[in-house]
Amino acid sequence: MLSKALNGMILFAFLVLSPLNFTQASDDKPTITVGSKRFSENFIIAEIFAQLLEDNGYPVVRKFSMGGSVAAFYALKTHELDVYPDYSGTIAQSIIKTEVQDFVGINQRLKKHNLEMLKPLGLNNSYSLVMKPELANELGIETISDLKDHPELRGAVSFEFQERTDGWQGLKKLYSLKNPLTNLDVPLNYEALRNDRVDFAEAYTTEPLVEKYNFKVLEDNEKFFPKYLAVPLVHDQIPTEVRKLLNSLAGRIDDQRIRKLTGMVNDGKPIPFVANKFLTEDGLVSEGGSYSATKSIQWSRMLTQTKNHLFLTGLAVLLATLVAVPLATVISGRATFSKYVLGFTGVLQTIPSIALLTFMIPFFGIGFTPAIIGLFIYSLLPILRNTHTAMTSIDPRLITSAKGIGLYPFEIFFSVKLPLAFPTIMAGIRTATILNIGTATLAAFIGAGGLGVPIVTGLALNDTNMVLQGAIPAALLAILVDFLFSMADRYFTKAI
Amino acid sequence: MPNPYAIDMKNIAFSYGDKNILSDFNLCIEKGKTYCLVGSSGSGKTTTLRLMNGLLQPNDGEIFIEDKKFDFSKGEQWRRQMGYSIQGSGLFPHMTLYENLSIIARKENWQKSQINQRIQELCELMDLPYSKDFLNKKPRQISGGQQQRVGIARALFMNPQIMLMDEPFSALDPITRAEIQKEFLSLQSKLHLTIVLVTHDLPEAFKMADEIVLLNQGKIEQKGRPSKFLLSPATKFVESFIHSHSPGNILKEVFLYSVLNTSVFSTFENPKGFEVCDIETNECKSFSSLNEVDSFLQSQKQRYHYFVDKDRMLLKSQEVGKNSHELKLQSTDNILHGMQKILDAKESALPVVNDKGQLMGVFSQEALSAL
Repeated sequence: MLSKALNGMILFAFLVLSPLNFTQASDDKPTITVGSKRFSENFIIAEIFAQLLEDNGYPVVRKFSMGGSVAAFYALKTHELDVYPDYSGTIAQSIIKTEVQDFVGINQRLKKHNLEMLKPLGLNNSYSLVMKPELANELGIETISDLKDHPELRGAVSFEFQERTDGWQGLKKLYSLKNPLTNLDVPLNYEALRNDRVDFAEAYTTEPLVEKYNFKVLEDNEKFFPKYLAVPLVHDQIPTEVRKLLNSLAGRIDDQRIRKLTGMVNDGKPIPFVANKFLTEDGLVSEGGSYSATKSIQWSRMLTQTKNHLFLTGLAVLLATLVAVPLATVISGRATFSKYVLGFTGVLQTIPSIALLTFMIPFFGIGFTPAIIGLFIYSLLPILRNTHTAMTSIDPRLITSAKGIGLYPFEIFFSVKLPLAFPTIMAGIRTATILNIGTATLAAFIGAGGLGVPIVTGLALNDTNMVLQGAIPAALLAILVDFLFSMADRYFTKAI
Repeated sequence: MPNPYAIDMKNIAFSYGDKNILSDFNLCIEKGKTYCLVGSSGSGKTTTLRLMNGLLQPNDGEIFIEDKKFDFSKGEQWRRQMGYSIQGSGLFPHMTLYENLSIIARKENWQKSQINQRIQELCELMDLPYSKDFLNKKPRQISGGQQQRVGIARALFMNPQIMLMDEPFSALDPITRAEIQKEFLSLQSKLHLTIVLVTHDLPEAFKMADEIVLLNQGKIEQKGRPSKFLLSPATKFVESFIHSHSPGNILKEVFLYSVLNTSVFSTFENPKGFEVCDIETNECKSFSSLNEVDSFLQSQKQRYHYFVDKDRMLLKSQEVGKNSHELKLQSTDNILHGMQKILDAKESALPVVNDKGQLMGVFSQEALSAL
């Protein structure tokens, strides 16, 4: 039993300590960081950007699975990203908050942010509402206006859509809609619609599933939805050759083309393969390109992601321990101060993780640093509270006894208080670590990597296999770490 | 001039925030005696004890240990030279008995062999097994009585001359408590430490103390031998305190030697006449006739003659103007027993002798009525 645990610990140490894999930089051309938001279409376009640049000799770092438009936008502003695909309507309304809809007007306003939309790729991924044709025919619903007469119909939309002024907020005003909504991300809302859990759903006009499932697109008869032209969004420091290369894609990916590509991905084709197929068909890269799919890549990627994950979790918990244990010790003698500190940490804990991660982007950018800070904040409360409880629940007579026999304050702390509090502190660290293994999957939203990458990407692609490639290692990791902690706990509680 | 006291508290003032606990407080503790601090909760007895080893620092006044002024900036060093033991032993649950016993010695960098030797001595003294098996146990693995013994052994480790004990026996069951109290008395007869013991258990104070200090709201109501508390309570408060704290238990648990009246005179008949001695002060006077002795005793408000031999062994007692008798009490009888004998004998007082038969004092109906 012990030797098994020891092996586990060695493996753990190996995973944490071995250096992370970094993409090698080439000598003459700068590394380009390509980002992506979390859905198939954006992945495909981003992967097309990445492969095109790689084929032209640029080292590329992929930071896919950004948590949303705002996260990706800030990452671009801070040059954490060099380029990612976005849509003119989204940029205008939900990022730079302007009524302006024409392409030139938006680009003028983007200048203030030192950003620029390159030439449109061709597709217009607008929003639409879809229904099952059987129900639409039965109720005689053709247009969005017709929904007004059926306020009992239930809708499934993403959070982002529900809150956007160019989404549900504007739509319900213009069409006077009062329908109840459920929040489901694309494409889970299609599943809900197919299974009659809801009656209508948000859909993208470029969505291949709309065709596949034969959903009826309700006509936007009041012309509410603005144009959502897909563009490469770049910052103005981008090298001219990169700009040229990205502009060479202009007009090549229209609605029909992207539906086909997305359909292939949804049918199980890997995104890099699909992107490569497009680039080869259009003669933009040589046959084969930079893409080669083998099984071993999946394993090594999983290992890298697991290492990354452990590193994120481990470092955050370590930092939180270094802060929380001394802090809790200091405040444990002061009841009022304790109340405020614990209350404040409690408030931090209630901030939804996605919100916290997104909130930090303007300050810390994206990637490793904000992820560590976020996970650190979530680790504080369990460790702080457990340490505080442990320190305050030590029998005061033992402390009196320790003083009475002439121990110095530091001797009392290290020889009496700390050993007595140790099991409870360890329990707090254990809770924090297990929670963090779960929470760290969200680090993928801000490009910090880890096992969240296959999970959120897989969810976006509705690809169960991909989700499992992240979820199973994460679950095993949680079980393994919990086991190691329980071994340590048994060892140390035996000492008391 | 060296201070004759083990502990001398001078003009002490102490308060918790706004709450005054002690003010202008003076207390002298003589060397080699056992003092019990008693009083209701909040009377300041634990505060007084904690001031003695600097666990609390007075707002005003000075404390002398032997003839050195207590230096509060070096409290830890001072405390290491004084024994300290609290209710429930105060042993650290995460340390073995060995680690508990040797903790201060280890902090003072004693040699391992020195530590082992000291532990062996203390185990013998405290009737604890000296074995690796026992010393490697955690406190919770041994009985409450043994924990208390180890706690006292730890307090004795650095060979202190002064022991401060805060309710040391109160967590124990009555049988174990009685046992440990007895052991502690015999330990004290060997070591002659200066002991200050806080207790809320009045019978315990009567059993253990050479002197009792009764505190009330930070003031000393009375300080003196236990018997004085029964025979001549200094204030109304002392009288009602003694009464309200289960006199029944005192009757059973307290031995006569704690309550006997020692203000009596022995009469030794020698060829020249009579030698009458105050047994408390050992001051003697010679008289030529028994009549002279009679009038002297009456002048001292004594009603009895106690005739002794040259070794002060009690021969007989005689109330002035009555027949003599040979009834006597043993100092190790308890009060209840003494009371019965007095009532059976229809006497107002009976002499008390020690195990050799020497006159120690008298136990009287006055003492009884004080109970």
